[in-house]
Amino acid sequence: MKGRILGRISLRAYSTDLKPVVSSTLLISRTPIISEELTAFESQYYKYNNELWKRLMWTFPKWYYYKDGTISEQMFKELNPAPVFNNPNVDFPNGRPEIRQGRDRRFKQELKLPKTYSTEVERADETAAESSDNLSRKIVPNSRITKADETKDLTSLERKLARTLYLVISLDGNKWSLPNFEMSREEKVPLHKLAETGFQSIGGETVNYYNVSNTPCHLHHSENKKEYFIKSHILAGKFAPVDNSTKFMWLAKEELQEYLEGAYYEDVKHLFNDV
Amino acid sequence: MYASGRSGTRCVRLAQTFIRGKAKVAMAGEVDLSNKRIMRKIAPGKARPAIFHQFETLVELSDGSVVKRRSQAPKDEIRMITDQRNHPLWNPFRSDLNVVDPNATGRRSRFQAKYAEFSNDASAPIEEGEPVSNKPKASEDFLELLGQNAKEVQKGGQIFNRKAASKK
Amino acid sequence: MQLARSFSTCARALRSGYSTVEPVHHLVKINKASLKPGMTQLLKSKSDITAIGFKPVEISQDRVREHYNNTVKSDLMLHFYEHDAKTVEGQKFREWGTDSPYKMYRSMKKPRGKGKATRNIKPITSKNVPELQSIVINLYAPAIAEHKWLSVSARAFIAQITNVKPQLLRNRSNVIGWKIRVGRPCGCKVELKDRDMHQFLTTLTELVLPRIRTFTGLKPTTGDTHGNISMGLTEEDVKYFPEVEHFQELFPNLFGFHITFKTTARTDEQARTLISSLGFPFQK
Repeated sequence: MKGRILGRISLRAYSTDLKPVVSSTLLISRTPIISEELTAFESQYYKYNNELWKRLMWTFPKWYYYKDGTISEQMFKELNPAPVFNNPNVDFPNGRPEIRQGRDRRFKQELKLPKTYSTEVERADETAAESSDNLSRKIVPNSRITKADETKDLTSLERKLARTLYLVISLDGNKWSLPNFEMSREEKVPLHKLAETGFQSIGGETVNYYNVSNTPCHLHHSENKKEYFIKSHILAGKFAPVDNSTKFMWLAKEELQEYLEGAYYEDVKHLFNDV
Repeated sequence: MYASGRSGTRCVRLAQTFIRGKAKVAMAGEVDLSNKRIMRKIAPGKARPAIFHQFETLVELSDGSVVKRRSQAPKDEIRMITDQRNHPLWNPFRSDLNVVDPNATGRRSRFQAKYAEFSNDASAPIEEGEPVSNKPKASEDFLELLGQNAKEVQKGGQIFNRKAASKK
Repeated sequence: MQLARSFSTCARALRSGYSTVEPVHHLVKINKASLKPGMTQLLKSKSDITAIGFKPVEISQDRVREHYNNTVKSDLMLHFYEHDAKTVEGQKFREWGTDSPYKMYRSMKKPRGKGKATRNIKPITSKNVPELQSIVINLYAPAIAEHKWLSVSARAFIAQITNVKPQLLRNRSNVIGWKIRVGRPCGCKVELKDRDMHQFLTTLTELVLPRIRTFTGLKPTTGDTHGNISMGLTEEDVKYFPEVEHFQELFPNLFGFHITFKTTARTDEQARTLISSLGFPFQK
């Protein structure tokens, strides 16, 4: 409501002056690639619930997956020896075991599984890089911190994988802004077309992007200028500026605050994703 | 695979099963569910929730990304060769994915493999930066896989060529 | 004071002669046995940690939920934005009128059109962005009619691929020609929610559907006109589930089943957009 009133006031100011320049800004973002970073509290909360859930889990039906007398059953038995038998002649100071279906049901059931990868290959992995193509190697999740994070390469699309990144450009190397394209006074084109063709002309030719909507998601008034925001996502490719003097960066929300102008950032900050 | 309701293939398959009589059931005569088994009664309000024993399995997708999933099957890790990350339907703009299915059997796929080079399809995507003439033919491609000394073997009879016969 | 003649409903309250209190035809039955102290567990909510039926839900991070909240939700809101959009009224049950006392308690007139009440379609705002509510798996196998024990296999199979215990389904009608009898088991169903639903969804889109050779996408016409999308898998498709694929000897009989995506979308088009944003391709 507040914004609408302000908008009207500024419109009235324009009416005496020249017609405001209509421009279109492409809010192109790279969506998160990996899961969110958790706070300490969140990870503790999940851990607590997960342990609770493991305690409530039913007994593993060993007989269903490992048939008696097979090699796999032998391997499983070696890894998971049977719990201590509730011998009536023995005194258990820490409580009597309650064995049901080969499990002490006083505790949660923790099982080790026979490994599908060979340990020799694992050892070789540390020495030789060539075995990374081996299909029987151990699966290790990739690091959440990439090379671009370590070298602090702000132009890389592979930085901050858990965050949404937005493209900012700078024509002179000092003033950073979101890619903005002005409508010429003679030829009128739709706002989303203006943003797309403008983006392609500065170096987005090889970028495969998805335009969320032709409707702009925000209108920013500045001195004699109307700035409409078109939202889109980069799906593949790389932004490579045509002009060598054009600088670009892919930044997360809190980094944008450093590079964008203060009042401008305050007006558009709700468009940026916190995650 | 059929979507919502009955598509043609499903109907045909159902019709076939009716014609044949009954769908085949494995272990049909071997199983006997006894009615005498007495189920232990659980008093109202005493039932524990059904939480099956689950393991955390690491799944490595074809592009190298690893996801965790909970599964009852005792398997610690799964490595995928074909999945969403290298399927043309999910990656329509990747030109390196339109490979011939090695498991394709059947007359249609055999026909396509044999006569793919004759299809004068203008709409077929042409990879940029690579002249079309440099592309190896499908048959040559497979021969390369076998090795340098491999030779194509004539299987079945020679197709009668009217033009060649008339020239003789 | 003179009252003008009007057709509004408050006219009923102002009219003298008959009661405006709805007549009570029966009393509420209370099973007193269930109120005894031993039954207090039943009164507790399942989400109460002291309840016996408590099942922890938020046991891990949920990447589908994160993707929906961080990216999809705001995108859908912008995507469905329509300038000056108005609520499209659905067909409702109608009153007979108030001009006669006989019409007062008469059951309502059926809605126009097909005689079924439909919901209003409101413009999409931040409060009603379409969301996936649950996935329902429904398995009906005619072979169970002859081999009763197959219902156990069917339930074990569904439990394996979903990690949720399914519910047995029984026939509700007699069809002599198909050997169908009322009360005999015929399949099973399960409603997946939250993390179970999201894991099943990702298994389907990442691991199973790409390996089905005949899969070309969901039908662009799918939907029940109320924003629920459905698809089906045959017994050949089902073998690509990781649990089935790596333990084939445990599943001598496989079953196809129907999958329904229940969404909060009011129209099929919105539901299809939502499902597509979660990784399901559609045919062209």
